[in-house]
Amino acid sequence: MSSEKKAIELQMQVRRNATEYQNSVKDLYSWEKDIKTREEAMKNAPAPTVDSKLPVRSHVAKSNEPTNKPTSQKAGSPAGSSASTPTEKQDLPQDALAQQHKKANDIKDRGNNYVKQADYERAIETYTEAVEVYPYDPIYFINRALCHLKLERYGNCVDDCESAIALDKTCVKAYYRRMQANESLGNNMEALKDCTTVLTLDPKNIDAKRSLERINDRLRKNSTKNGPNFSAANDNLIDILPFDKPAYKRSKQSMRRVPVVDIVTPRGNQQEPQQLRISDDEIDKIFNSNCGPFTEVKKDNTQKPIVKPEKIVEIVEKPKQTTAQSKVIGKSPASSEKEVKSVSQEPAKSTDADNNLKSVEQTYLKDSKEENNANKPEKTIKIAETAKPNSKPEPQAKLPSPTAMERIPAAPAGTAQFYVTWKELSAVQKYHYLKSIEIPNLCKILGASFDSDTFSDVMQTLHDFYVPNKEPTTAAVLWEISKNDEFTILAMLMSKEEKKMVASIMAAVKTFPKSNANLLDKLAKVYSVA
Amino acid sequence: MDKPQMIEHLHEAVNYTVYDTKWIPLSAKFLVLGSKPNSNGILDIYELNQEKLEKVKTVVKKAAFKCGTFGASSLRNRHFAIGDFEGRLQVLDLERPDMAVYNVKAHSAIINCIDGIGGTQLDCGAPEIVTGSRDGAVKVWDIRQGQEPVVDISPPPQMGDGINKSNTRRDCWAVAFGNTYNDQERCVAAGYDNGDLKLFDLRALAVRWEATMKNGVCGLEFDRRDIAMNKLVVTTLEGGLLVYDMRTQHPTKGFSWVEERNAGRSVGTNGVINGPKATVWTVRHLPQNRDVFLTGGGTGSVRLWKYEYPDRRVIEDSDGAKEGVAGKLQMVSAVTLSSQPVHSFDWHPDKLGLAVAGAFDQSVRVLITTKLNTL
Repeated sequence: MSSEKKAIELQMQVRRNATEYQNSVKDLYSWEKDIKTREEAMKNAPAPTVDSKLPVRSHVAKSNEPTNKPTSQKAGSPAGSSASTPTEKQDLPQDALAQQHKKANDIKDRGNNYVKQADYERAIETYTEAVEVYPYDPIYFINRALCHLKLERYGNCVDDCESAIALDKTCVKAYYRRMQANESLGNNMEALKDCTTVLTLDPKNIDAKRSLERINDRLRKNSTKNGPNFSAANDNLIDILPFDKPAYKRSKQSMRRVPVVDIVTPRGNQQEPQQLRISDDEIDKIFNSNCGPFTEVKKDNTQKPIVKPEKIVEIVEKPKQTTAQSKVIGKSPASSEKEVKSVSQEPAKSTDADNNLKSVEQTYLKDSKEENNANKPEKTIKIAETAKPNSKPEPQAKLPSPTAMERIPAAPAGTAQFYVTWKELSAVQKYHYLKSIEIPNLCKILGASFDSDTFSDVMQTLHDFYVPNKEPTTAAVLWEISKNDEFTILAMLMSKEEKKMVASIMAAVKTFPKSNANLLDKLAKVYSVA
Repeated sequence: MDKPQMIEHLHEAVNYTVYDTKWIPLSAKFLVLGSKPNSNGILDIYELNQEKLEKVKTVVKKAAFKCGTFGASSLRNRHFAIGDFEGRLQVLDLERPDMAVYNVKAHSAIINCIDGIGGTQLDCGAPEIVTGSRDGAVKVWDIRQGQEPVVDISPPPQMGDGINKSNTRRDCWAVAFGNTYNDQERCVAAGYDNGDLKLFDLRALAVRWEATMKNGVCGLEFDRRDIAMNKLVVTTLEGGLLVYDMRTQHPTKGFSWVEERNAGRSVGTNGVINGPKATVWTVRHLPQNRDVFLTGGGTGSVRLWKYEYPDRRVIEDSDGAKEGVAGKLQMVSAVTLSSQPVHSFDWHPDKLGLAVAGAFDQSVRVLITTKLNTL
């Protein structure tokens, strides 16, 4: 029953839908006919007038601006004023004069169009017309002046500008155009006056700034043509010419410092203190950054600062040496003689350091590295021996200086520390540094990174300092080095010079008192020195 | 059972990929834009002739056509604006289509979407065309102004090489004009592949509002272009359909909306929604009733929706700020037209219920929808 009903309903629905569709299709066909006739009618109808009243979006802002400030437009350029005409026309003029003004403006707009087309003759005619209608607006004169300028009738241009200025003293454009005309006429002084007027009226005018520079340049050039107007060259002055040599042609010598001194004129000196009345404290307060009291850093002669640190080093060495010496004294009972000798070594050291110093200086100045440092110490020792008697008391006087102690690095605790410090030290320092290491620890401290460079350094130190000082520990040091794991390789790779050095050390050690012949034999074997 | 019925009236198979279909205003003709297999652009004009379609004209150009609009042309001169795969915007006079009225290289990449306004409406500003492109830019054109856009809304230039650039620039998939209720006011809504939705105010030249959808925005349309913003329909990938109430903008919450997540899926025999989440490709409001609109889905189905306003469209929150209230969406009718996505659809502006749809199965269909006047 219900299913039958449903079926009937469905059929009804389908039928209704079908009729609905048929109706709508019929409707569509009639509409098609209708729309086709309408379309035809529209095609045959006259083309609609395209109304382009609505502004293009990107132009809207531009055309709105002049309406907001019509006063600025008057003094503005002719091109700018044309855009604002539609709005101006809408304003109803109140009286006859205003009406005339409006009429003149219309004429001017025509003139502006001619200017855009670069038809300056016509534009001049139009502006003249405008002037005849309404002679109280400077804009017509300025615009006409522009046309004259373009046509290179500079005299007329100046005349027009003057009439514009007579109407409006603050007319920037008039001054600017008169400047241009004067410049072209060659009246540079007049142009300069106009230019400065423009800049006073409109300080931000970039064109005018540029023109000012240009005119100034020209004035200067003209004045130099007639003869130089600056003072003759001073005798003290040196012309330093720029050089453009290629790099390979330039001098290999290092640059020399040339002290440059400011020449302060007395007038300048008088003026400066007047300007600087604010004290430093006040400045600090203002900027809220107290940097402590002001201390002047004095600059000495350029070469002195380089010398000074070397001297400090020299001072440093002495006490250390003496303390080391005193240790030795403690160890060996029969050494009164030695003590004298070792003390006598002190001046030798100092002169040696001095000598080193000089050589540093020399290398600094002359850039000559040829000098053989290896021979030096022996020479200096000789010098020292001759100088012995005089310099004996000196080291004792210097001994107690506390700052000196700090300069020698403390004995290294480990291998890494040793190598880092070692590289930084000078030859003399190395000696003391090496001595500060307890001999039984030496092998461990040299460690696995013991390389040929360090080896030769150590040998050099032994040769240069231990031997001349007749250190009793020399042999022990050599022995300790030989215990190092890397030593066997290093000994094999020893150069001839190094071997010679080791041999000389051995020979010297043999002459030492209390030399252990047994140990020396062993060393000779280990170092493979025959 | 008095629901509107959508019936396929005519069917025309073509031998090219259809990208857009549009009725020519005040005529029984529509045009089809597409890409031929050799990637030439093709424009066919068909005329309804009772039981059959008659091809009136064919225009072939060298770059494939993507989208077109009559929005900026008057009824009389029928200037059709087309965006193509090479980023060129051309305006063709359909009487003399060989020579473009306006031709500009608008974008560096394909123009995905186009919309026009100001052609037929009175007192709603200058005729303008907006284009959105894969290069990320949205540009507004006025054919009276040379080769430059009147407004260029481009993402800021990116640092880095070309590879990175292509990654960071969003692809603009949808644009729509709206809010043009007088000579000055006008808005452009733009949807991007990452789900960004931006509303640009062309008068103030500023971004008025931004939102981010869950998926890329495929379709955008204001219910009317030439009124103060009323509703904006947004369709997205994975079947999202959102209707924003654009009357009231809350200072912090923006516009309120109603969302339908299953709009892209096909409707089975008993009205059961099944199938995968499919893209909602397009949305078109009925020209005769702004609360009725149609969406074209990725499964080849189209759906007719009706928006029902709430009792009160505006409420005040605790701070006294006004906040819009979204209404409800009611699905009126659904029909599966094709096995492929229906991605272009156009209601005839003059005849209620007459529409043309283009699908990716290389065919165009003329549809009749009955009883729309009963809604």
